[in-house]
Amino acid sequence: MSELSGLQPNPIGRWIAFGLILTLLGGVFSLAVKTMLPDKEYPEISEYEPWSEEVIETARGLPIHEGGRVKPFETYAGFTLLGMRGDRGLRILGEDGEMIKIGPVEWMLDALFRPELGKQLPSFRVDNSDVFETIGMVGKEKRDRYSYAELEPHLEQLITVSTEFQELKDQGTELSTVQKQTVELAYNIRVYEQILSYFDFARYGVEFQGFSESGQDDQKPMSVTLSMAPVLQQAMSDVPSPDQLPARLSHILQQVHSLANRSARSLVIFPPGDAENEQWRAAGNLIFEVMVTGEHENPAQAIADIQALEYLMATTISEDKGAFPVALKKLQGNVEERARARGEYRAVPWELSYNEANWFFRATFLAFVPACLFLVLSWLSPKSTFARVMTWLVWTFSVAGLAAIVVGTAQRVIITQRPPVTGLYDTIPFITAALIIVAMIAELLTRRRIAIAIAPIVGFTGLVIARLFEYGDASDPNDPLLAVLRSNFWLTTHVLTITFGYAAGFLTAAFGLVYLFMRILKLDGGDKSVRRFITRMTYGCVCFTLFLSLVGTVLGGIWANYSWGRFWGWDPKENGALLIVIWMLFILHARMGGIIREWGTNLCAIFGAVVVTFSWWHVNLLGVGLHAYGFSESRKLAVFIFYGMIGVVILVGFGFAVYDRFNKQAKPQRAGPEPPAIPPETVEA
Amino acid sequence: MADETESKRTTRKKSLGTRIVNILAGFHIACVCLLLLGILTWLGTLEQAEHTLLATTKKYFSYENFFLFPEFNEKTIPIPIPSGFWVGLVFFFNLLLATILKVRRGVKQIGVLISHCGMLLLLVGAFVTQVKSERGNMAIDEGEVSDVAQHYTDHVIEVSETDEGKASKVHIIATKYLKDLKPEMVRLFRMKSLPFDVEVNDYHQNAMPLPVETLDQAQLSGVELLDGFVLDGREPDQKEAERDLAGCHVSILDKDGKKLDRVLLSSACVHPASFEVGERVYTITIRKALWKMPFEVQLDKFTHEFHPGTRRPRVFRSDITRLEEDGETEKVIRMNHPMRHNGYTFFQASWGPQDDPTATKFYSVFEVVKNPADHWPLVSLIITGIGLLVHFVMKLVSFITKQMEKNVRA
Repeated sequence: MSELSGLQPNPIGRWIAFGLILTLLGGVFSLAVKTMLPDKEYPEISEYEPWSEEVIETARGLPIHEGGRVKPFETYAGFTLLGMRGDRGLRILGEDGEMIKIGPVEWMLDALFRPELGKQLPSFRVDNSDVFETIGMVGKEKRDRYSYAELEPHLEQLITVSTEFQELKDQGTELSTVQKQTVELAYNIRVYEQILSYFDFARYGVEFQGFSESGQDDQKPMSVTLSMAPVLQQAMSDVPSPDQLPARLSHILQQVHSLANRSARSLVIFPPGDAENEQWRAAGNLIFEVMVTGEHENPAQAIADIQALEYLMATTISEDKGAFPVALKKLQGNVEERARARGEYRAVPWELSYNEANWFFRATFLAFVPACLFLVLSWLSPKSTFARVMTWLVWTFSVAGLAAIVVGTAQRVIITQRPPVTGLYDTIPFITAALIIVAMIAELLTRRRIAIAIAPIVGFTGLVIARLFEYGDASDPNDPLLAVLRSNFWLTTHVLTITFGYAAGFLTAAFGLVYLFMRILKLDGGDKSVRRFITRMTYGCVCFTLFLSLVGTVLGGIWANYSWGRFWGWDPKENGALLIVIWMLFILHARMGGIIREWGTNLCAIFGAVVVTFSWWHVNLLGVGLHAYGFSESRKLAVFIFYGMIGVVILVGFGFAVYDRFNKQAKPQRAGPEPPAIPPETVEA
Repeated sequence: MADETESKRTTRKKSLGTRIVNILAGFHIACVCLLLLGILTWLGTLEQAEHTLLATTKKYFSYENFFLFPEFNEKTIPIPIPSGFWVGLVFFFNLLLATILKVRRGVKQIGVLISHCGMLLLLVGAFVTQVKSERGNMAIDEGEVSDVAQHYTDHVIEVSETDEGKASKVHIIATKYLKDLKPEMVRLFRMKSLPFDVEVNDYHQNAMPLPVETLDQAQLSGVELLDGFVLDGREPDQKEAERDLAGCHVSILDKDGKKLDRVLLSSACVHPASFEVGERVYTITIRKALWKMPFEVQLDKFTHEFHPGTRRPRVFRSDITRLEEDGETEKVIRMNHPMRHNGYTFFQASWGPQDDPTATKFYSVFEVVKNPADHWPLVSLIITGIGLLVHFVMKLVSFITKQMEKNVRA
């Protein structure tokens, strides 16, 4: 840094930069906490009694089959609650106004075992209270959360209206945002009702009319009813049509059907006994297969499973408080053992550990937030020992954050047994980690405390975006892939390369931004070597973006060619990747041809962020092509806001570049003829 | 600045021809082409959401248009932009010339030279694919054998001589003679070895024969009614052109041009139309062009699996036996694992019946492709990748060396 001696950065510019970075970090921070904002008012449920730690710990590890794979109950409950409430937890006021935190496991236990309490929990988020106008209900705040009990009086109207909207959609009508939210709310309520009614078979049993010796009606448990299945099936086969069944038998069968339907869609926890069969079953499936179709391979086991659930349900109203944890533990152990025997339990402990570690959340708030603070502090007195200590802390916390992302990603690879990037969500932490690594390598090579500044900001921003995406999407990213994507070779080569290309594109833009703000705010103190250095970094990143994007794009084409017989299909995602390649080629050729120099290279690099965002996000929002996933209005708005911000920055930079040029021309005698910072490639070579 | 002066001095010495070649191979043309290609790709991607893929690619990248006017939110932007095909062609020659010129630039440009060669190969491969590749689909029921693929979009008219009720010799009016026909055009086909000629009119790329009883009086006015049917011309399906069903009216004329018969043809009809000339019976039909394979394929078994408890596809797999003169070979075709043989590639494309959950017998549909440039993209990628890697690594090493020297000095 000896060449910097005598050249001091502009103090006003430094403070402005300081303010801008703080504003950026503050903005991102507010986005992050937005997902964690508590409700304005907590409902008071005085009779609510929290579940014991033992019960929660047992329940979270119950293996459950959902979304095509075996996962812990905790994961299932977490994504279900996220989909309905937009959050993974809630708070209520218990007895004496005591605050009670309810996590997803407890929330689902309430819905399953204490439905009357569950109905009072604020489980549904409604983003726009206009949804209620169509069903004649008065909403609370514009965006608020509601309990099932609050919505219950209006459910019939809600279902009618949402069915009408769904029909409109099926006919090709584009629904308004409120209409979409109405359909979504109705769907969420249906899902919740399935959970609420899951144990109805155990709660109510089956009414046998006039079978007892006294001729009185008799209520029998479902398991007992199932044990009579051969008799009932014989009776059914003895009559030509079900209409001719004796009324008493018909009544039993109707109840069995109804109860089986109520418990057939959630909590698919029973592994099949047959090793060839992959279809796990919910209680309703067992009831149906034993009683109606007679297709269950081991009816005795099925009846025992139903009996276990009945016993579990019975323990919830037992005076013996210790009975429920024991029964739950027994059920969990039994399912775990059977899942293990089938080799399907492997990922569950990994996933429990992954859920518990909450790597990305911890990396955000325990590593990158402090790292950003240290970074800001290091700028207060750039050349002091204090700054060096702060920079060291930035390094330490950034490395810790990076390690958390890497470990979390590695755990997900182990859980899913596929490469780290297979969906839009996966790209976010992956790109974040890649950017941090490259920034750190760049800092190690250059040691100017410029590249390292990018690491914590990118880490923080990237993980906040990942969290917002996960909360908005509310679907499990670890679920299995479609047939066409089930190729670890292509997922590893094409997807990872293209994702690294996105990362390199953003890093390119980041260096462009560093250059722009450094020039505008005079942070370089007039030192041309710093400017040249940044531009060289930008140029290097352009080269790598081009390389990675080109290789990734062509690999995608080869995958398509080898899978579907066509290299290029003008799919928006393919076009997006091609646009990155074209833009990077343009920057390189324009620079080599002397069309753009320092300012031009950096401004074009900043525009690269728009091109990468178009490819990464925007094309998914167009709703056409093979990659039309992850659509949402809020994401579209966020993308346009980002375009707008980059546009403003480029305009300001362009204005300053023009001003700078005229300024130099006006004062040639003082500034002297300035050689091109980076001579055209042809000359350089 | 000194470098630029030197550069200008060198330029002055060059001949006019050299200067023209330099301009044609220059960065300015490359940059303009790249910008235009970028803009076209961007606008085409956005327009695709409104106007479907087929229509958009035709508008933006067809050689038939020199210029186009983009649309945004269904409003035409009154700024003409050169068509992608022509911009690509200019870019190709710019790249070719630049590559040739770079040969003289020595070792420092070796990476760029290699990568340019790779890109040229990719562009040539795209052209060869466009011109030379063939594709169709072959649907086979389990247990059945086929050696014929059906073209996705191209239609032909087949005239068959019949012998005791069976087709004995088939005469084909090829796609290339039908493709440019418009409903208002009339085209006469002289059938040299037949005692009659065929005149085609009212040709529609997509049409449906409608029974007269389904139409009201207003719909019947001014339309031709043949055998109780009216040919209802429709807009070609922009999303899935393979769903188009061509149709036309055909007059059977004797060699003096006298009309002998008139029939309505539609590829929606399963059975051909028949007519008599002299004492012989002939049949005529319009159908998708067929493509004969040099070997037969027998579908032994089709397997489809979903991830348990979901409707998310996990496996589509066809167990087939390839039947050739020199023997039989058992093969498996599944997603991401096509069968390549004798220049033909069979991809797992579809299956059925998909709407019958109780079905026990299935059929599998293969996409059949013959593409001489099948592996060129891979070769091109390897060449380009190596070139870029060489160039950037050379740059990186130079950059790191300079930085390390500076760090040491500091």
